[in-house]
Amino acid sequence: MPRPSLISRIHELKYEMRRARLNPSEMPRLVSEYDARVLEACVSYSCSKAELLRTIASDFGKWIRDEKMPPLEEPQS
Amino acid sequence: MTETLRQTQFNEISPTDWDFVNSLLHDLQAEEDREQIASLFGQWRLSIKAFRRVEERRMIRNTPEPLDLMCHKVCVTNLMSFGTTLLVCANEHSDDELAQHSLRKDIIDALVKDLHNTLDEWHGQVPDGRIEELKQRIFDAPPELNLKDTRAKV
Repeated sequence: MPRPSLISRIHELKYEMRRARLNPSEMPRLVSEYDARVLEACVSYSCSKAELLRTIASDFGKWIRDEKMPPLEEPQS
Repeated sequence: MTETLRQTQFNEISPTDWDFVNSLLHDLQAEEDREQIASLFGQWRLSIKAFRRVEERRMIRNTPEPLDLMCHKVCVTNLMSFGTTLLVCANEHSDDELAQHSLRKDIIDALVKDLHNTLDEWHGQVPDGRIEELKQRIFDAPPELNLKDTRAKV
């Protein structure tokens, strides 16, 4: 199943926000960019934010496996 | 055999992990001294961390059971509620006063927004048919309709 690069970028930002050792001062910038990318996708796919988030939620875990990202629970190097 | 199967299923959907997060939240909400906003913020953040840990284990790495979804909803709405209360408290203080306790309103606000996004992701009231329609449009689009590469270093 092809994954558009914009959706990958949204997952990437979410992964950054979930990192165990994230400095909370990074959150305002990350949330702001995440929302901007989500709204960009909403325009592209003609849907609401809630619809887009519900649709791609279950793809996040698959993206982590596809990209071979380290588990979020473990300390990041 | 049936008993073993039943026991296995029960173990798989045991809400123990969610109970842990909820007990943290309960302790947080029972805190008597609401003036100690810095302490409450720290405890709220710890609760969010515990919540995200269980969320990853039961919702992201695995397909959530119906009970997981219900427990997840209880936790995320409680965390949002408490975070919003913290925001109200924070608004009664100046930025300088908050900074003395290493607090920032924009961080609390961002954490609440992130929780709200999580609520929409898992519990937004979107008809199944609409989700399937969007999944097809997003993931089954021909390559030429794939959006430009917006990937950049975070």
